[in-house]
Amino acid sequence: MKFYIVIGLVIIEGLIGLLSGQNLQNYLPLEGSWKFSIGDDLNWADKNYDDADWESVKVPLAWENQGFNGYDGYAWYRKAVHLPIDLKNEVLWLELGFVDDVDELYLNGQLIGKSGSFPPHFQTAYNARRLYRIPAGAIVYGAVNQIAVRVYDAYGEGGIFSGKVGIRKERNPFLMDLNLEGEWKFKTGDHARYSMEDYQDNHWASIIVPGAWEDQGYRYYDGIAWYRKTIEIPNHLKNQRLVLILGKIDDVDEVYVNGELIGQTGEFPDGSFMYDNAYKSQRGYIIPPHLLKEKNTIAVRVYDDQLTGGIYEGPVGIITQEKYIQYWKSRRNQ
Amino acid sequence: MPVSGQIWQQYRNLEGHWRFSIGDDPDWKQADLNDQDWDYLKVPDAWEKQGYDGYNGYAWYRKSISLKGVPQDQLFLRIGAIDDADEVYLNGRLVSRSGSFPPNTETAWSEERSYRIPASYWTVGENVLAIKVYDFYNEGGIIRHPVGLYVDETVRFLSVDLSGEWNFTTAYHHIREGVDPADSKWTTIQVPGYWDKQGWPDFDGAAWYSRTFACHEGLKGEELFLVLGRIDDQEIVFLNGQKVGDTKSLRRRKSFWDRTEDYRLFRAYRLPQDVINYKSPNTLTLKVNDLMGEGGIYEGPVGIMTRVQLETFYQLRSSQQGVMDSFWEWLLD
Repeated sequence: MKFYIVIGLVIIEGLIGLLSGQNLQNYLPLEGSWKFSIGDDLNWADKNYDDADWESVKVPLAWENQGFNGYDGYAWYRKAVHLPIDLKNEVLWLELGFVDDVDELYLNGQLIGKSGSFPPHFQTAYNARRLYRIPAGAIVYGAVNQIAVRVYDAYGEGGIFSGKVGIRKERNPFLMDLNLEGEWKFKTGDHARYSMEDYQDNHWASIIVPGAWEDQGYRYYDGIAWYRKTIEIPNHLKNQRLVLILGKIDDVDEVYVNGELIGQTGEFPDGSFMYDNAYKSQRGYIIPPHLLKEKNTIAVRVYDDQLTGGIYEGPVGIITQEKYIQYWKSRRNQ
Repeated sequence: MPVSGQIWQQYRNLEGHWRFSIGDDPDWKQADLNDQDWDYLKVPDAWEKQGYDGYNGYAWYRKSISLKGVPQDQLFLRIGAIDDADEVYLNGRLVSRSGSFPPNTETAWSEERSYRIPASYWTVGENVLAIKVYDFYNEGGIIRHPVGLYVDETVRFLSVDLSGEWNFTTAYHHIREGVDPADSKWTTIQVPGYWDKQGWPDFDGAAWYSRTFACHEGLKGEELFLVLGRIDDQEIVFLNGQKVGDTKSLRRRKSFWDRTEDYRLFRAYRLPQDVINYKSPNTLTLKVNDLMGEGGIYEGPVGIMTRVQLETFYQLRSSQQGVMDSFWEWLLD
């Protein structure tokens, strides 16, 4: 019971931090009619799945009030939205209001966020406001995009039941000069050589960044894991001072470029680990220019104390120091 | 906490608004940098409380200091605390640092800084103090009072000021005495100051300090005392190759003395007159042993006093704080 309360607090705290940190404005309200089906099938996340024969329900409103009285279990919501090409210069978030109990959000078949935990390790998140950052790579600009929400309700009211639902955009979009979201190399465990430039990571698994490792095959893993990616700096960014943006990481991390530590957030456990707020901090690491070469290896050592682990929220990429300073200055002036 | 051996007199208050930018660029230490589009931040106070909530990493502070003339006194920059590590520049030249930046990150967030600024760094007119800060967790920046330039009044009690750059080595820990300062294994260190903050983090054990100094002929016939402030933990002192004394001789209770308390003792050694050179340079050598934690000659004043200077200093110190180590009494008999 005590454990359960702690989890609730962590979720709420996380969202409050997020809301105060991000200044969002409404872009496209999505309250109203959504396609709906009870049951569960991961193919329903697909962009091309034909949902013509699905029911229509009102969002937000518990499904018990819309003809599904007494239903507990899995159900899916789907909604198609057109996202014009000029949104490429924006950073979008999807707000789902409050969902009873657990949800996973997909865009065009890609998992972009989740709250709570599905059975057999059920955890409700009914009291958490859902606000998910949409990775730019998941969006098809100038076309129809398919939103799909997988929901599980344990008992009582179920579904997207209250709050505001819609697409938001950042007032002060934090756009990367080089996007590094997508596939990274990943390995659980810890070894000093994992930081090294010439270390061969071919045999490592792939993972999508951003995204909690729990959602990508490491369901109950807590402890140390490494991310690696080798990149080239495009010509227009050469000879500029650059910042590596790693979004938010749960809990603490150390970042290496070509084998050298360039920064860290929080402290790795050293006897007594103090669980703290490092997971809420936006990661930005200034890259010492002398480290950069033709090919560059980024290695990130992450320690997760409990629950969600890894680089769980974007943006992830490289930005010039000048833009990074402007971003923080405008955040300050809001 | 040890009582301070220094007597601080404020020369200029530097609290208030400083120019501030997140990020890092070596050019930002330069006096002629145009920082007009930088933010202003209140100093001292964490940047998290001033709109940079959740920011970790590098940032710079800059402050312009206008001087009608170059200060006649040795000035110290005192800062209550900087979270986590810092490097301080005056007019583009490195003054000092605490903690350590990546890749060898080391926090010094709770330590008071008192940085001796070499007099030659000042210019008449505009001077720019630039502080590079690295924060890797929670609160960051210049977080605690005081922030200002200070004169260490104890310098007035010195006939020879021995603070500043000394030769230093950890290579001869096995040698009991008689190290040759000309050997190439020596590097330099600032005195006073812990060696842990100057490139020897976590070093415990024996290290050697050495420097030369001139003792002008006007001091001939005076009874002279070598004052070494406070040292963590024990030392043996040599002047021109002859042993002058060691920590043991300063302990007030010879029996039942806990040697881990030595770092609190205020150091003063009577210098034998026949060992001092008045016409040629003198070489002062110290073997310092650190038992654990931080080590070195960590607090001033460091220099040579006449009996009158030492007695005046003693009276001033004991009247100010009412706490003085009892070795004075036998030393001044």
